[in-house]
Amino acid sequence: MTNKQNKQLLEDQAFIDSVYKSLADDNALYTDDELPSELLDKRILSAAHKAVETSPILEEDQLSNKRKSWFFPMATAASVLLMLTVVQQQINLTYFSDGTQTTEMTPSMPELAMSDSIEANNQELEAQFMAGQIKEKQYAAAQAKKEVAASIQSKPSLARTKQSKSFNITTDDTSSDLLKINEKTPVIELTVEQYLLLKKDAEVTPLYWRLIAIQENSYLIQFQSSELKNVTYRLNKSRFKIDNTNRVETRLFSEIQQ
Amino acid sequence: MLAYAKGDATAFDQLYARHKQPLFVFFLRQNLPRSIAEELCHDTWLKLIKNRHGYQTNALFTTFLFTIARRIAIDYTQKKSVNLEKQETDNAAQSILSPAQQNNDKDNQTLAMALKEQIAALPFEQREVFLLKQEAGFSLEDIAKITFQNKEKVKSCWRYALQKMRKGLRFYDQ
Repeated sequence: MTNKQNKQLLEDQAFIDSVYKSLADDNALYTDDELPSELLDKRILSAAHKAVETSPILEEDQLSNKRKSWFFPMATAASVLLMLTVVQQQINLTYFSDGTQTTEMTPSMPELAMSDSIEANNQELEAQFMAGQIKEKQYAAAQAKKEVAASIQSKPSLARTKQSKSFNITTDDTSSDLLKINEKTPVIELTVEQYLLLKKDAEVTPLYWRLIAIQENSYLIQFQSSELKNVTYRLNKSRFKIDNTNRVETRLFSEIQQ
Repeated sequence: MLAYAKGDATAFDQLYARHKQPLFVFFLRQNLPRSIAEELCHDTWLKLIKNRHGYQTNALFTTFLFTIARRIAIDYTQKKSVNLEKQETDNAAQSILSPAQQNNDKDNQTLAMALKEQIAALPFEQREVFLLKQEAGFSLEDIAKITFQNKEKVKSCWRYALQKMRKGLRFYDQ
């Protein structure tokens, strides 16, 4: 504020003071109607007296004040402690995830119990998953078996083969390789008729196969086709010739020679 | 007040007798009808009675009382939207010319009326500061505490209020 403003302020103040002084001297500052009514006086005074008479004992109020006096510092301290704990935990977690901190975390008892239960759950889930896979394979094999049987029945030449007992489905096989796939994978004896039919089909759409095992009188192969998948075929060595050196790669059907 | 808080009812009688008029005038000068001023006055004293144990000796009793009174006055004006006079311009304030002013009568009765009219014409913040300073006798520091405002702002309000009051009462100055 500048000097001029200050001077003005003092002048204005002096003027107002003189007005008030003039009115006060003449008792004109406050008129009688600027006093609260007697009724209001009575109401307020009676309320004040009543409050003191019926008020709870002072010690009680002081006691509540004392309670308040420790409550807030206590609450503040608890909040700060909680905050520090959370921050500490966050810092530990950050170091642990970075892997840059050499200090190892020592898990508490509840944490250990929790990790044990998680591990047990994982093992259980894994077992369930494996069981599911086995069931799935079994179901697929059964489906393939049905499909082959249906295809044979639909073709008269193959139906005849079935009547002549050349179509055999065996479920017992001692080959260790075969056991690796599935113990219950069906093995079908590939007849010449079947071979010819498959050869015709292979000319239209390429058919791949893989050597599974070599037995004394036969080879065990599997076709890489959705229809014939999971069915192992037995090829009699006297009827069919294949290159038995490669067991890993898949090969074209044309490599099976009669 | 401390005596009353400890249970001495007669102490309150003295307090009331001493402060009832300034408090009532404080409400009356806020452009409020007499009945409303009485109602607000009643509320203020009741609140003070209720909070008697909360009074601390580091504050003046009047500061304590007028802080409550101001809060109640603001609540009332906000509720009733009577705060509109804030927007009134200086010209509007000057346009309130009483017959006394028009006749340039220096009679004290008419001066008192003119004074009240000028106070009523002040914007809310300036009027509040003016009443607390001039009529209730508070210092600017105390007013800053009561109104929870910066001291400089209070001083500024006080300066503008004085300017307007002097302008409005210039007939007396002449």
